[in-house]
Amino acid sequence: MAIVNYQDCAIEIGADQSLLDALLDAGKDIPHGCRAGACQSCLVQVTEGEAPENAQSGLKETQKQQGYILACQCHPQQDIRIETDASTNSYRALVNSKHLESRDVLRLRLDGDFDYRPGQFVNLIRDDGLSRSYSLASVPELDPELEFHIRLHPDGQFSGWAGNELQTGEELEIQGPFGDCFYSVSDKVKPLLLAGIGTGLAPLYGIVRDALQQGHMGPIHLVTGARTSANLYLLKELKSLSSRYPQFSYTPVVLEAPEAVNEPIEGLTVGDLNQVIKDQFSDLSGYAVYLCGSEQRVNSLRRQAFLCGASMKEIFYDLFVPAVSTESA
Amino acid sequence: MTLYERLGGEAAVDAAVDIFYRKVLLDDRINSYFEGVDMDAQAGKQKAFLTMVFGGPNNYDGKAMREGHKHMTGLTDIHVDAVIENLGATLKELGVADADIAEVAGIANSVRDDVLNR
Repeated sequence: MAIVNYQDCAIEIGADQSLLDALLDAGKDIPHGCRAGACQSCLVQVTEGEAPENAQSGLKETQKQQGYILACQCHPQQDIRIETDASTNSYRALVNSKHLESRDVLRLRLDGDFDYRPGQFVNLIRDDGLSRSYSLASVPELDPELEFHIRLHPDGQFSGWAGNELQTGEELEIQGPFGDCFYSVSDKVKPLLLAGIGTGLAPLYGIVRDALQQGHMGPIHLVTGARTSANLYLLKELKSLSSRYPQFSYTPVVLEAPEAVNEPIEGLTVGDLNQVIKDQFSDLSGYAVYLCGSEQRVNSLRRQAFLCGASMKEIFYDLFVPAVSTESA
Repeated sequence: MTLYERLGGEAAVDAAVDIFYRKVLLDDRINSYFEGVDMDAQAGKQKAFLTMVFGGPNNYDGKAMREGHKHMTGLTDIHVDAVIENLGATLKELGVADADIAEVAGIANSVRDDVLNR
């Protein structure tokens, strides 16, 4: 049985246990989120012993070389020593405002100042260590604040708290930024397609405005999918972007046609997002494609975009992985 | 000039991966075997395979090829034929000469027994 040395403790790691579970069982306060190796909340550094390669998937080359691993993906066979307080940048940020954008999307703005690229994500951490990953919808050159879109889940531990209890003026810890789904196109006339489901709009909203402020001139198509028109949000902001920038267009796609239409929504399309992309973007060769949302939907959009001719290397994506509850046993 | 050089080396492999993988995903004879497979990981495997059949540098491992296909129930010669056909069509699309296509198909054919585990 392998032993992990952490602080002053030597902790045994059970046969079926991850390093994260062993640390938590021993009462250690380790930030964690998705437990699927995606959110990178549980990043720790191996300072003695071998850093298992399979626990480094998705990390940057520079992190790997420094012995960083994801504790939730790590099942050590040999004794190791780890540190946690090391290099992940972390910040305290003040809650400036909270605004409900649709029936289930909370727009949260924080006062914070650090380097990031729009579309990257960070971990927002409550004082007791509860941590969730959220994408940055803001653009540092345009927005003085950090902006996040929090989907309010009926049973969401974090989102429920953020919606009901978190007050403006309170502080949150921020860890990050992470991820490589951001605008990095050197060819300013390249056509872009951005497709998102639900709050997948958050990173895409950042990426679109980043591309525009960097002088992107090629067509930029944003398509978002939602169940009904009541689940759409940022309509006003996107409309104002498209009237200001002729190269930008926005198509909201809903599964269910709206019944009573008070204010018609410009460009509203009823149908399945994959099908709409297949029909309207049948030739994606030469495009850069950005896809954000739940894992299952994004994977199916990746396949669709690829079959429509997008090159694998030109498909950037960010998968939203649901957090696994630690309460239920 | 070796076959790999004639085809254009690594740049040719990179150009072929997307075209080949897209053909495979659209081919109803074989695409069900690729459902739910991570696309980035699969593209990496396709690249290694194409490098090998292009006569490029490789550490071909028959055992890994057997292991990698063992779980695929119902795999037969028809499926291998389909893959080799897609490979030929990919090369045709890239303007490769027929004689070179035949040589590539020959190398691909040489791993048939490993793929089919016999």
